[in-house]
Amino acid sequence: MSPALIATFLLCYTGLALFAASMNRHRDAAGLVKINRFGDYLLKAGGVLLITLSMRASAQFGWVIGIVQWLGSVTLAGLALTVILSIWPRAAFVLAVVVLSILLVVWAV
Amino acid sequence: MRSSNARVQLYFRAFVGFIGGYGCATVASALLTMFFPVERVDSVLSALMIAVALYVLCVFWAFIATSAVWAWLGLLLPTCAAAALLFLF
Amino acid sequence: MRPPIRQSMAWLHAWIGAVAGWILYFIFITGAATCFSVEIDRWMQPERPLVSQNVSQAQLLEAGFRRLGERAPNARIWVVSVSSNRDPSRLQVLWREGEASGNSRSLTKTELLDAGGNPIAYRKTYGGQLLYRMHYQLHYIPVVEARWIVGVCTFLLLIGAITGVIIHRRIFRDFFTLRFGKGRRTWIDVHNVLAVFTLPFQLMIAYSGLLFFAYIYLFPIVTIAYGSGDSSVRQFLNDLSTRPVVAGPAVDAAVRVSLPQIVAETNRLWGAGQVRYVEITDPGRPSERVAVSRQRDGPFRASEILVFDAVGSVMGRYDGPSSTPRLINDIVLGLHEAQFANPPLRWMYFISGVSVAFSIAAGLFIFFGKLQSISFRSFPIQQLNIGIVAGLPISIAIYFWSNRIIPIDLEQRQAWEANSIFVTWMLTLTFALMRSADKAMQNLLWAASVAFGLLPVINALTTQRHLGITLLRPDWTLAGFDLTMLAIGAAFAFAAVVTARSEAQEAG
Repeated sequence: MSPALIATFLLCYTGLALFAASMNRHRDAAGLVKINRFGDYLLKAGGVLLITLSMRASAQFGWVIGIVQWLGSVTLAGLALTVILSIWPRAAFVLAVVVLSILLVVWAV
Repeated sequence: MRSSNARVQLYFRAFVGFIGGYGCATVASALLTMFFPVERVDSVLSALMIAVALYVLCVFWAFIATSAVWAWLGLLLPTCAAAALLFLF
Repeated sequence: MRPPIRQSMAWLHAWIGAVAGWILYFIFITGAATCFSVEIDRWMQPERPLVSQNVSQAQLLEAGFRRLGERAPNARIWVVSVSSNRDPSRLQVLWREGEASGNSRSLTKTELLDAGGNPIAYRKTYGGQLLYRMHYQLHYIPVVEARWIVGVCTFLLLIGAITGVIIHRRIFRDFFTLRFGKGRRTWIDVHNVLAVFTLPFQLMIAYSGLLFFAYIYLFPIVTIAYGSGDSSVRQFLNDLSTRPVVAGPAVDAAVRVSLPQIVAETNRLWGAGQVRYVEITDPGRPSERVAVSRQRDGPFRASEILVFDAVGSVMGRYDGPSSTPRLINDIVLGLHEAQFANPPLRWMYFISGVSVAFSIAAGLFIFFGKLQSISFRSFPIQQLNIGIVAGLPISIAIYFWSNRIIPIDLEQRQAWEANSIFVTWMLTLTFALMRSADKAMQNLLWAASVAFGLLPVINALTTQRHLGITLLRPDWTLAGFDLTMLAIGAAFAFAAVVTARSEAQEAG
């Protein structure tokens, strides 16, 4: 379980969580305030950024294996996020924030 | 409930798409790769890889074509043209 | 006059699901199991020793050579096969007496050896390889017809996936949406979520799956290039083969090099532990040829090969695909088989495969639910579906049970292990037909939970490879299998509880 693979997966999860956070439907379920257009685009841009970073995390494995690992991570992160969102919506976002902070700390160090 | 005319259309287009598409995809891909200056095995491999994708497109063509006749002709004509060209070379 | 596009796509999607759904479900479940076929092999051969950490590949190969030298000194072909990256202690030898180019499989004998080169007396079983073979050529049906059926269904999957995306109106809005307890809406959400997230996987798997036998399915292309008939297909496969053809003079017997020395030379060129198998033609004779094949840790399907002669000089080699089409072909097929995959990646493939299978199952529930209310009022068609869909996991669990329960000295026990899958499947089908849809689902989910969950217990009662022993070693392959069975059992129990609760919610 290499660190790069874990990083890829966690970055995908947080990126997708940002996408979910930009949708009012999921914000309502989690008890967050509705979002305006600017916030919507901001969150989506953040999501794109994180997903791109996750691609970079897998790049070290070369083209073929890197793409396979990245696609696998997006798939599983998406499934995980969807399941958590449907059971404890708030927890899904809290988890994303926690994971993101951990990743930032690890990256800074 | 769907009208029987619409249903006939769908079955016809499905038939045309899957059967005509098979012919069109295989012959057209074979034609395409026959002229690459590569070994025979490579041209067959390329043709096989292209043909699968082309076959999928042909099936969708059959449902998107604006008329049933055009669905059929759109697959038949390229097949015949490609077959003729292959036969000539 | 064109039918509205969404209508034709929906019609096509439903038809494909109806025609190919069950078979594709079977293919994805057995395919997912194949991710771990080597590990399953090991669990189904409990006579094999527990994993031993300290044996190097060179020692294993040497033990293999020694055994072959004792057992089959006059054979025409020897093969010693190890499996380092997935099964470090596996050592298999094969030999063929008689003509080297003979086609008869009954002339090839095989043994599994322990680290010291002694043969292990293991129970006859097809192991995980049965699930792998069924995945592309089903069972009981003649191989050619079965491969055609699988091929057609795979192509239908490609069309089905794309039509699904086209008809999914709210694909972005519903991207993360999964609502429980809403009956049909829940099933649709499950179907959509599982299918959308695994879309890249589906497209890759279906496309690459078709390429394996594309030269059969799209035979006109091969005919156009090579001519018609079996010999032209054989010619094509020959051209595609990566086996270096080496003829050459026999060498002076006085300067022979031993097989361990050839392995040492290989380790010098490739690094240690890189050998996958060693195939020796005409062992011990001046015309001896030693072909060494490399472990696969890259995405290419074909491994590098070095061919040595009797004096240890390299006579032939295969270094990788020699043209772009072959490169692409190798990579695409390699992606499907994922031989290169390390355990985390292997689990990703497994979860993706199971997710697609469940997506198809959800689609089938939706379809048959609708069909039941429209057309089949008197025939329990939804129960038929439930029996088939819920029955398959139960049948595979029973396959593992049968490995432990069928007597070891029963003639053809491996065929009976395989039969147990389909007998169980028939029984679950019959059972489901006799119940109401809800009860059938509940009962079968619980049956699945019990079938998987009790497997480690059966293991403990019948062998010396149960969790009590394997966790202590630790032998993670064997322990992992038992733990996974417990996890699957728990998952089915959870599913049974959730389904019961949401049905109560709907009814009450």
